[in-house]
Amino acid sequence: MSEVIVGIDLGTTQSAVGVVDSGFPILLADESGARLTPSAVWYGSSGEVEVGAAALRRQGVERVLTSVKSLMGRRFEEVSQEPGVEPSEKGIVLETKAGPKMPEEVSGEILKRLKGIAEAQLEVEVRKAVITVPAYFHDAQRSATKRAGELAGLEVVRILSEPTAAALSYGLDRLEDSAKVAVFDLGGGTFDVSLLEMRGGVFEVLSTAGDTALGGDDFDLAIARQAAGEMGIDFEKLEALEKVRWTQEGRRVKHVLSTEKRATFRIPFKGESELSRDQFGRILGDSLDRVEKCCRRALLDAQVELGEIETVLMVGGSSRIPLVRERVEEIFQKEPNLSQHPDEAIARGAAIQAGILSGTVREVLLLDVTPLSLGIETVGGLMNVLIPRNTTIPCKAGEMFTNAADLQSSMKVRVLQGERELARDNWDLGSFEVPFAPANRGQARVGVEFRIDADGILSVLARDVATGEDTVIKVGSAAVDVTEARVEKMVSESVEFAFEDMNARVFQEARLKAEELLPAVEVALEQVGELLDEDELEEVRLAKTKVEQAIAGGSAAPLKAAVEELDGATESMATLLVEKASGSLFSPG
Amino acid sequence: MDPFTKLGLPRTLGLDADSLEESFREKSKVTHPDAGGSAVAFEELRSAYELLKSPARRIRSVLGPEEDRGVVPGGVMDLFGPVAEAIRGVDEFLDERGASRSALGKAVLDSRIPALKAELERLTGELLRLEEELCEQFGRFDRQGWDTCGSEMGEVARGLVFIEKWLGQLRAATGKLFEALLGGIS
Repeated sequence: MSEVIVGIDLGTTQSAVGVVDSGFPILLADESGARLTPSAVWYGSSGEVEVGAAALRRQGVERVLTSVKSLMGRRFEEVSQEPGVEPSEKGIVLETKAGPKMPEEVSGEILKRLKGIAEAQLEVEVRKAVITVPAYFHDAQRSATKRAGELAGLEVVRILSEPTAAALSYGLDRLEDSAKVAVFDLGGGTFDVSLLEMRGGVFEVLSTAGDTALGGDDFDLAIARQAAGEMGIDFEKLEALEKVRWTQEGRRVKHVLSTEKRATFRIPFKGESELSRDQFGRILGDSLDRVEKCCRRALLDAQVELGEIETVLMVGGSSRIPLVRERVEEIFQKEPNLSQHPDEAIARGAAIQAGILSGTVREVLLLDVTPLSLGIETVGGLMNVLIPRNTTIPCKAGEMFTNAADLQSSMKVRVLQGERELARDNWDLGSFEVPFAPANRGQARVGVEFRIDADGILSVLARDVATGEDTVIKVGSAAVDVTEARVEKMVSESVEFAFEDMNARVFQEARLKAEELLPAVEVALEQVGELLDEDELEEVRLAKTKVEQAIAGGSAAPLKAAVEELDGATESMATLLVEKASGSLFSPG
Repeated sequence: MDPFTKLGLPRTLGLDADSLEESFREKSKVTHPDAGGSAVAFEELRSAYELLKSPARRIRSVLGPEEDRGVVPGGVMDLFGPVAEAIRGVDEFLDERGASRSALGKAVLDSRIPALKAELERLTGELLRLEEELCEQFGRFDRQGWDTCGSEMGEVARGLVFIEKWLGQLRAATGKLFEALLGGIS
């Protein structure tokens, strides 16, 4: 019998492990019968470690590490706002009672626990695993996940995209079907949307888009912030452990709002605040717009028309939120399919892929894509794309480098992932040196090959054109100067206050805004003025007069206040105009 | 190996999209590393498939590189101006919108979106129609023999290359419009 491979969903808030048994994917339960393990880790001062529900029970009293997934493969500059995150020579670390821990070490503890659950259930040693990641994870995030697996004593035989896993789970007993499917996966911390074509046992991903910093956790936090505001409490000034309690209450309220129209946010001895589903809708607004943007891009990239999509599969915990479902239905003009268990489908899919790789699942093949364009920095700081996003993996691309000066010994090449034109706006994967043999300008040539493997992870090879010899190139991540990173954090915190004092600057900014607003008010009144009632019109006129007077007055604070008032008074007109415009943009045809 | 053979298809320009996809799927089932193949074998299959999927690259692959310069079909060149104009229009709109400081200012600018979108759609439709028209000649080239239609094929190829490039640019412009309207770019 071939060696067992387990499938693992390493989620932001919870994780699960599964395996294929007699051709069917099943999840493995722990000793208490639970199939889902909270992605929470607690470290004690003498080195003891607790994972899952046991760790979670300490939350609110002690520091428990949760949502570590959002830190995987990230740079300090990106996550310096997170509490307890510090820079170090090996990357970011989290402060714990047992000393600093890297995010992959913490994730490794969760994986160790899942490995233990699987071994107890299967009564064999488990050494290999398929681990899922958000489809939109870049190279460094995927590599960090692989390292976490290794730290747990697992050989990671495949890094699998989460929405693709969900599609496998959905499609396994529909192998005869031919259909285009959209998978919408909004989890605790990440969002992905993928379009797939299933046909003849082949699951071909056509396009994928997503946001690795958008999920249910953000909604919990937003509810807590809003409730704090209504109670007159400054959320940002709360202690770290307090914040955790408030966010937990935010999560409870969010869950209630999935079934009820109203819920009460309540913190003992602090106060309470009522929240309606409509208010929650406004809190969600920005996030849902980001979600929609990803969906539109995936559709454009796949060159698929809405009418061709047979099923819109929704997974991830946040697919339980009615407002999310409504938006999905609006975008795809189709009622979403909720047949898959939102928290378990991805682990099941991972188990199926594990079955494919171990040979126990036949007749199924998965063709996934790379979510982000891969390129190098060229002259002028631009990004030159070598492998466009949504290219089927594994794949490769070559580029020839030539010496630009006589006897130039090497050339530095910066590798990037992302969709922006300017190199600096993209994710920097690191740099490498292309070595040149001593030669006159334009004579030394080295071919460099960029390969993306089936895990979506990059490797780089250089081929000396003269000798035909290949060498594997290590792409080193840009070294972070630890002290510099700390200084940066302090500077960014102080800089906002410095500008506040500059009266002239404030006036200038407000005046520019006023000069834009005043003519815009005229145009807006013409276009949508008749939709406003008399009170609203009066408010706009009054605010407009105040701005005109404040400009003449010449001092900063009154002008800033007047402009803000006009901004507020014209809010409903702006919304009406945007609705008018977006109605025509999103309407078919 | 030439891309047609790689996919197990006859060397004809006029292949239909469905059988091309079908061949790719069937060949994937033996060349993909997960199905007992190798990364190298799959990469060869994938790049051959990508090439044949694009009518422009397909016809160019059977022509020599010397065919890159020469006459471009008239209908294609007529669209050069309007396409460039539409793409510049979107860029200018996005620049103005990006520099806008207030919600109302942005909203007033947004009233231009429907016209911009309609123009992008109109041109996309035009280009797709032209592409189809040019591809309709593929069958005739196959019947008469590629050697005898060399110069005609060169002209069609050049037209298709422009069309493909412009379609990509129009798609990117449409994408940027959506992104602007749905909030900041991540």
